[in-house]
Amino acid sequence: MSALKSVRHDVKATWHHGWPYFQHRYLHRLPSPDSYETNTPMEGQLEVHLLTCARDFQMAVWAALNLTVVSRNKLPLVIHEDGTLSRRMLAIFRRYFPKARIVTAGEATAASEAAYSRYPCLLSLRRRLKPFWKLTDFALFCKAPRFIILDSDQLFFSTPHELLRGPAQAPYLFLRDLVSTYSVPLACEPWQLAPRVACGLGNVDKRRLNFERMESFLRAGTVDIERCDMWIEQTLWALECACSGVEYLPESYAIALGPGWEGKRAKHYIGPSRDYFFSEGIPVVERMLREEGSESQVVAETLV
Amino acid sequence: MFMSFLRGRQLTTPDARPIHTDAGGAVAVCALLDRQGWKSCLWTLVSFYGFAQCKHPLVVYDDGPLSTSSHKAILRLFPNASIIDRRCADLVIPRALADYPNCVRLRQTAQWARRIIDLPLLCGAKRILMLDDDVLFFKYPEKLLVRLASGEAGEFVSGRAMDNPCAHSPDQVFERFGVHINEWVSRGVMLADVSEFPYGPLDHWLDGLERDSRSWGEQALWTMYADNNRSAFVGRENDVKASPDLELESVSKRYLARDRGTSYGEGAMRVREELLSRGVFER
Repeated sequence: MSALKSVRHDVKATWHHGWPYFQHRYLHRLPSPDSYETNTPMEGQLEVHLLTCARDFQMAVWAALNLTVVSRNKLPLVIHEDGTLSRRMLAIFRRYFPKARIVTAGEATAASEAAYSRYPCLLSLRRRLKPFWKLTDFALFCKAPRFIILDSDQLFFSTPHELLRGPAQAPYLFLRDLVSTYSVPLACEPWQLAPRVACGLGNVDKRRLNFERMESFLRAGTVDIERCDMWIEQTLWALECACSGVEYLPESYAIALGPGWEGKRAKHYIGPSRDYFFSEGIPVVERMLREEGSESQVVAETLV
Repeated sequence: MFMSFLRGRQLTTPDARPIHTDAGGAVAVCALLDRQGWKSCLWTLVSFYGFAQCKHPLVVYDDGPLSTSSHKAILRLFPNASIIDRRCADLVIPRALADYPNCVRLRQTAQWARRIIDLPLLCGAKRILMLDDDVLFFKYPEKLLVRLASGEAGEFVSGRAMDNPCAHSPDQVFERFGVHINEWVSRGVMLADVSEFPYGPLDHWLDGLERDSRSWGEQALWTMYADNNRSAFVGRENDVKASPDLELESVSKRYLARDRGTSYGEGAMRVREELLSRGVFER
């Protein structure tokens, strides 16, 4: 998006959504880190992994804080940064989540290059597409048998029991997408993909991930590795789900197409609906956190 | 345009109590809202939920774009409603329908196309009950609710129109597209199974229509989708009538363009009076 287009969008969005949008989107309001106890454990049977970049930093803080509070500090938090976060941003993360593990881009790349040296296609995609790091790095840096994939644009309006409990039978539990959005058709002989897997939120058994199978899929030539877009990551998750089994989160976990949060447990603010993350989602979560926590003061943080 | 703008300004939003609908289900109640007709559409929805007393999930497609205050008004009445912002639909639909270029092209050029192209994909249910913003309910829609509960695969149920919405006769449509149509399908109140919505045939029909350069409307496409063999009518009490007055037996009334002025407002006030005793509105 060109700078002019971006400014035009910002002015229009501020006009449309009003003051709550403006203060969260541009004044970068964050809750006071001293107001909430983010005393996440160092180890556990289920970890939360979040990949973020400088652009989504503020959203990532809200998403991680939100899940930490609604899950009552039970889950170890691992934050993966993609190399664009400033020192100040990393410091803010450390201040909010003193016990979280922060995996830097350099550390992740060194470890991944060594660990996935047998999978050149996977490595090639990892080098080209940063969202792909969710597939390779989360499993690599997860010390627990299972992990939760948390996107920066995800918010929870009540305790996500289903997500925390995990699937009943299958190894994977994912958010149900509106439509199947993959790099290849659902039936891609001899492969079959699970329909409507949204990899922005999920509970994954890392022991069942089969990177051999993913590499074979990529080598089969069904996907142009040099040109494919970021949906290849979701495609590979869908491949794993089709082969090992998947369960979906209930309908109260929604993908945002517009405003409205009541009756929903969680909402994934994709694409243009991210405006509602600021205008609707953050005010609701802020109110919820205030009720959960003590007398907290929300302070304006300047991040840039 | 100016008159519809004036009508929109005159009509107030329903002062009903919040109506809580389910988060998901087999049937979704869907409506397309634009800047002119969003208030009348709210009256449509309040009259339906008020009389039917059902909890089917509500999906409203904001084709305005509506203002934040309009969104708030919708969510005040229907707190659990899913509102679809057209910009978000624009992100999902073109990719999902990449194999159907005529469908994608049509939804970019014709506003009404979003009801038939976007909603079957985005409603999140196997069947949709589509309500037009010019319809009001005045009684318990018993037959419609029986149809909603039946869940018969592939069914298509609607009110009966006064005239053929297609530009051609049924014979001409069959000759051209190989589809037997029921020429009396009305889209005002329409229940359709969209679980396996046929975008392929739709794309093919649009190809023919575009070459023909005729402005066939959404109703014609629904009529072709319905097919004569599986389309049914809800009942005489839901038929579209020419008279601007409400007939005694009518469960719902579709206010055609010429009756939209004062008649709709009177109808809305009548809905309010009827629903006051049921506790849908506060005294």
